[in-house]
Amino acid sequence: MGRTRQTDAALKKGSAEMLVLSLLEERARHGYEIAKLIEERSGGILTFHAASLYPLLYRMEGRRLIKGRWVERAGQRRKRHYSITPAGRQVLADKRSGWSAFIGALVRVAGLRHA
Amino acid sequence: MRNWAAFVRAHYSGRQEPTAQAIEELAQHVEDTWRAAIAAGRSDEDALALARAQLQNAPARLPANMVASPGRGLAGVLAASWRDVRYAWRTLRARPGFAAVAIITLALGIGANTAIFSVVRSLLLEPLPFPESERLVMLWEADAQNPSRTTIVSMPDYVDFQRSVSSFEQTGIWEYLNFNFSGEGEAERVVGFRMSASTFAMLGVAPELGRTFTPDEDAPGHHVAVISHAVWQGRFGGRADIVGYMARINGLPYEIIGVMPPAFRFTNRDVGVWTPIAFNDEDRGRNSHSFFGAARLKPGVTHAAANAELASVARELAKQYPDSNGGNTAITMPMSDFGVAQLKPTLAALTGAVTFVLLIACVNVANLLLAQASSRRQEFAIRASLGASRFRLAGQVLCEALLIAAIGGAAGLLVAWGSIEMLAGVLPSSIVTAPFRNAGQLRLDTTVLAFTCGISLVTGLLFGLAPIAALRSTDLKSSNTRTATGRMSTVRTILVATEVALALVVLVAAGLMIKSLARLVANDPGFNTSNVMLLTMALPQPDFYGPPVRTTFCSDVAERAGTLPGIVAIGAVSHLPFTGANAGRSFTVDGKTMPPGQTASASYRLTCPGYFKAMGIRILKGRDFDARDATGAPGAVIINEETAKRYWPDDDPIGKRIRLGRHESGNMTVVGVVANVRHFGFDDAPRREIFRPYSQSAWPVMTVVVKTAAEPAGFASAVRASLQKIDPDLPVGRMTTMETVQRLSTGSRRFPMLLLAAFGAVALALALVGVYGVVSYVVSQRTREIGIRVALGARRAQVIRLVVAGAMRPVLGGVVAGGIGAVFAARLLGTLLYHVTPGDPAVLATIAGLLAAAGVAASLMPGARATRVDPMTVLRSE
Repeated sequence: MGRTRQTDAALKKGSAEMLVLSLLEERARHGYEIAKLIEERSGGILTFHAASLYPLLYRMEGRRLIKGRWVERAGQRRKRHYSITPAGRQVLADKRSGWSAFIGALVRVAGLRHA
Repeated sequence: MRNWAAFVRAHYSGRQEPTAQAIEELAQHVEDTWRAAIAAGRSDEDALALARAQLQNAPARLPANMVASPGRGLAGVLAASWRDVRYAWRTLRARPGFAAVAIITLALGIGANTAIFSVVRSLLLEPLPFPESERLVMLWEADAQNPSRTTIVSMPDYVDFQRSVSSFEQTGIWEYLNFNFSGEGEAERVVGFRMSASTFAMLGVAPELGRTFTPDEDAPGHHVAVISHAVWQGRFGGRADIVGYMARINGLPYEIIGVMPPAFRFTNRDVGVWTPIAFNDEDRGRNSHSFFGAARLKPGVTHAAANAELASVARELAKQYPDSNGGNTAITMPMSDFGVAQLKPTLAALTGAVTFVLLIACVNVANLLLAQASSRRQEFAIRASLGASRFRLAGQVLCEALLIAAIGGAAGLLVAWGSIEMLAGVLPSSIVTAPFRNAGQLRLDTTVLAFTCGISLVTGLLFGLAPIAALRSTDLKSSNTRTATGRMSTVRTILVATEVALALVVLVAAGLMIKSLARLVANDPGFNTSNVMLLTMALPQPDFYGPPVRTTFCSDVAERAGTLPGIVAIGAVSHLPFTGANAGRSFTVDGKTMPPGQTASASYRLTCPGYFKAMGIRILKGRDFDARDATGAPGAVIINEETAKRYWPDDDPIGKRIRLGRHESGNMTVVGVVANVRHFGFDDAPRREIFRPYSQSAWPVMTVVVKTAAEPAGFASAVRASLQKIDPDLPVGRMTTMETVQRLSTGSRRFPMLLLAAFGAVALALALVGVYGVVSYVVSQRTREIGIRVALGARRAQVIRLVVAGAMRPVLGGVVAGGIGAVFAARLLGTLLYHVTPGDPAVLATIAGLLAAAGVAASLMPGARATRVDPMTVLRSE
């Protein structure tokens, strides 16, 4: 438990924005979908609670990396979909190259293997 | 279907609240989580736990675009305030003990203050109900050496002032009289005035119906009367044709020419009829001071200027008429001070006491809020770390304080209503009949209510916010609260000492009043009040002098009522002791010459035979009046001990002769000497009195005094009926007893004593609450220390002693400070004290002992709780 939380915190801190941006790169999604996808695709290692996810989304929206808008569908409740902005794409590209360099270094130094 | 939005909102209550949009998203997220869990086959309980987990570990601070701002404009502010109020309400409900004590404390403080200040305001601060009343003054003649010794004016002097003083725009003159109404229904006595036509004009009040007097009607011979609204409604049933109605007043036909409006009080509510002044020969003596005078100053004329001019006119009169006016001056006083000056010590004492009660209440609330703040420090620290700004915490404390003040204020309103009802029942007649005012009918003063609520509110805010201001951001983040609580408890200790000191002052004042009253009623009044019944009868009499019209009054009373079963003695008197009624006469003593400038004088009473026996006044020498002293028989007089001592110090006064003033013819022989009576009340020194038989000299109002064999109430209707038979046209007043008269006579002291005692009790209770609160708090802070002591073998008694001794430091400090304060504050009581000094050691010691004992009692309970501390639990918890 203690270990997981530490991992969470350290990893999330730098990586959360990149995770969200990369999921939104494919298409616009709502909050619950983002959280589910992160959990599924990380095999349950990375989880976001609503209490921390939405502040992150709002902060990113405030920095104009993503944009939320309400989408209404007949017979369903309205949902707020987030889509990536051009500025978001720029940040995502920067983060990707930064993280690739970092992970490459870890692989070379610590003998990590790409998953 | 769950309300997921409310689920989320509840989770964020007391913290930064997300925007409505964010709440909707969070709610959907939580709901989706719950649905997924249910779909996966989890129980509702499990699913709900997962949903709740979604809201855990929120960041300390939400991004600005996710936080609900109070919104723009009033609606936004109101919405935010309403949220805070709801939160404050929940907080208070979670602490019912604290809330109840704070609210009761405030209610008592606010209620008592509102009630007392409503009285004070109506008596001292409200302008009189006349147009431009600040220009109205009373006119007095006074001793030039000592102008505070004033007397009412004589008619010739008044006329000279009216003519010569240019500062006066208008003047008025009147004299108290009793009027007998007869004719329609039962005969009735009504207090009234003979009054100059100019007086109505001077006051600037128009009648409700008809007219007031014309200047022509000031001359004798006009049988017209103006009546009060109350007399019109009561005696005349509000008949529409009242103006022009011929009423029987004093046995003569009088035309009712006007009715004054209901609010007109001149000078008080008992006054129901006004007749023209009609000066007669008796009024023309410059020595005959029988009239009240008043004036309206010209616009722009100051009281000082008016007084200077009046004094110079009075000096001229003194030169012109040295016999009557030598050594005299004249002064004006604001009409609003008339009849109120002697109430000032009472009002000052009550105002002081009630202010102290409010202060104690405020200190108590401050104390409670501080205690709350220290115990909620942890809560504040946690909430601050969750992102609540200091501003936000302050806002909530503010809200709580406001809520307490609002509820306390509402409860205070109820207390004020209740107290005003009670006050109305115990108001002394000196306040009820204060001139021109309606002080007897108390009404709630909303200005005062608002003011006292404001004061308590400010206190609440001040002390509610102080601990928040003291929180440094580091304090907020760390949960270590030790250092700050030390400071807090010092403040609270000082507050408790203050509270004890204030309570002591109020209690000492109450104690001094109680002792005064006890000393006072321990005086022998000179008569016996038990089983003495009184009935007032008004007798037709054209003037105050000479033999009575109804020569058989005394024998009628004795024969008709005195023969009823159970009547021990019966008599009558013109001026009953303890009622304030008085008259005086000067006389010459046969065979004695008085020093130049002096005349022999004494208070003057008329009696029917049997009066002394009925009152239990001892006849020391000689005899009571009897059939020998009939109308036309040689003049007889009875004197009291004091008169005998003054004029016949070495001789037997029986058989000596005196000659009364210039209106009486013939000498009178002293036939008896009676014991002294304290005529004006328990605190009065015996005065010289002379008594004459009613059969030889009349008086318009006589009080029939009946000594009964048992409780007087049982005899009242029989006696009344037999007196009524003497003459159906003679009004017989309501029955009262000498015991009632005696009790009412002490009203001016009894009233402040009762109130001070009540305030003292409230102050004591509040101080107890304060001591208890602080000691409980200190004990909870010292649990660990006490646990160690118990572990080291301290016995129960030692622990209790430790706690009580700690508690007694502020209590004793307060007692000492309060004792010093009380000696000074008690001087305010001034003339209310009787044979007791403001620093009376017995009272001080008793009250100090009482407070110390109360302090011990209040700290015993938390002390006992401390002994139940389990050392192992305490040590393990650290």
